[in-house]
Amino acid sequence: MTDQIEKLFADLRAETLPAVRPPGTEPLRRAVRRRRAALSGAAAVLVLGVAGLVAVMRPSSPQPVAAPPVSTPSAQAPVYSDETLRARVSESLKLAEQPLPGVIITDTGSGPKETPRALLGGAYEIRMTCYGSGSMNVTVSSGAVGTEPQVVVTPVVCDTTQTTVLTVPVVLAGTSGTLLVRIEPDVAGPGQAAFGWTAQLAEADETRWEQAAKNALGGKASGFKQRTSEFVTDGVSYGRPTIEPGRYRVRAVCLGFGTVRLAIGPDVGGEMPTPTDEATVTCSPDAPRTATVTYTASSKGLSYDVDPDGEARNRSVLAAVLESY
Amino acid sequence: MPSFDEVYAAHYADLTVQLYAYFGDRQEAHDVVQEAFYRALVRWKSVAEYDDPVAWVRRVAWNLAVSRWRRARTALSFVRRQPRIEPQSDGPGPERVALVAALGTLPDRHRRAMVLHYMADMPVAEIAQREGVATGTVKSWLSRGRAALAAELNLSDTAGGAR
Repeated sequence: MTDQIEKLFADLRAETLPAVRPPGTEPLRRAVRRRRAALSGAAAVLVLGVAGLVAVMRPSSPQPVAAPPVSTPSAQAPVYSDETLRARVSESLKLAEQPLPGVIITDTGSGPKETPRALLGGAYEIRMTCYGSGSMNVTVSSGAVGTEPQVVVTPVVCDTTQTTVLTVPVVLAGTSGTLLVRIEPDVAGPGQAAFGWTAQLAEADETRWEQAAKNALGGKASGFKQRTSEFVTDGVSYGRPTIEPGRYRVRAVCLGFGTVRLAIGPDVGGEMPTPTDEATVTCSPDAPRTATVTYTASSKGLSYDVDPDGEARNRSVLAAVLESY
Repeated sequence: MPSFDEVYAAHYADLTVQLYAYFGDRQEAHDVVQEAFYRALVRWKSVAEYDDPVAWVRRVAWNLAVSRWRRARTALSFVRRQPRIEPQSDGPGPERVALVAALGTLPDRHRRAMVLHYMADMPVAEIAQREGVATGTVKSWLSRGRAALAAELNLSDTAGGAR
């Protein structure tokens, strides 16, 4: 007798496969070229002009588009609720899919706004968008304390029909620095536009920071079982449903900002009801301190949760090691 | 040595179908697979030297999938409130949509094991190595996954041994 479940999977594959239309390799090649240009350009330039260095992209579009049309502020332009503006900007920046450090400004009707963010050092791609009518004159400054900041000035035109996202490269030299995004809105009134930006750290720098966090924990001890090191974005549970009964500990360090709650308890295949031990991991860009939680496991296994606070989320990297002792 | 374009053309769709079954969302699947190929392209000179470059891309895609899925946990409630723009293309029929929906009810690791085993044809031992668990654990996930799917889809679950 044919296995029904295997057949369902085979049918799903057979029916879905012809409907998949690969976007093609050309967008990938463009992205590679853009990334290389961005990373090399960002390191050398202090003041960046708009025309040559700002990439204009439309998410979900296979081809780059021309610069959007000029949008003139008008008192007759539609007024949106704060919630709608926030949702549209978040959608354009794909914040729900890829949490990143960033800010959404919906209060654009009352003059210039500054949004400074302390971040770990490295090469960043700043993505910006504006939903509504009017435009924003945006200044992006970045630099470590005591160094000359990089400055990027660019207009961002607001629109509602196409979700245009502009990208600019910046580099935060050293261990950490401050990224400052300043907007001067050119809008006719409140509720007509919202602006948002995100900062995507280059993959090579992400890897470097994840390795640095691992190194901060030291080498593998004799009771080593598992190690993780990654940027914290939201609460994560690391489960070990099968593990030899015995005494275990999780040691963790955090490079970055804010704090991360570390908790350990039995593995229940979901949210841990009551941790048996917990600790607060204080993040620091250059002087992290190790926090430890312990647990005596039965045959039911164990799990440990990490839960970053708002300061740590999306801009700190946590390394943790599970080991018996 | 295969060219990047050859590998992309031969494996993009298959990987996307697997990730679609895992996410239940075609756009998510496209995003992850495209990102995996992007990472391969960046370092294609070395990836092409591997015995099995496709395995590298598959591993990266699944790592991204797991990471994205986990990272999106708290964002899901937000996403559900938003109108999603689904790609306009023909999709699977109602029975297969039901399968994808039923997969969505499984715990993360059970669903991943089911898709890797039944759609990516990955042996139990390889899934166990991927997930860092014993082969018996994977067999247990598959068994529970099958039982749950059979119940969701009103099937009489046949033996269907794991390979």
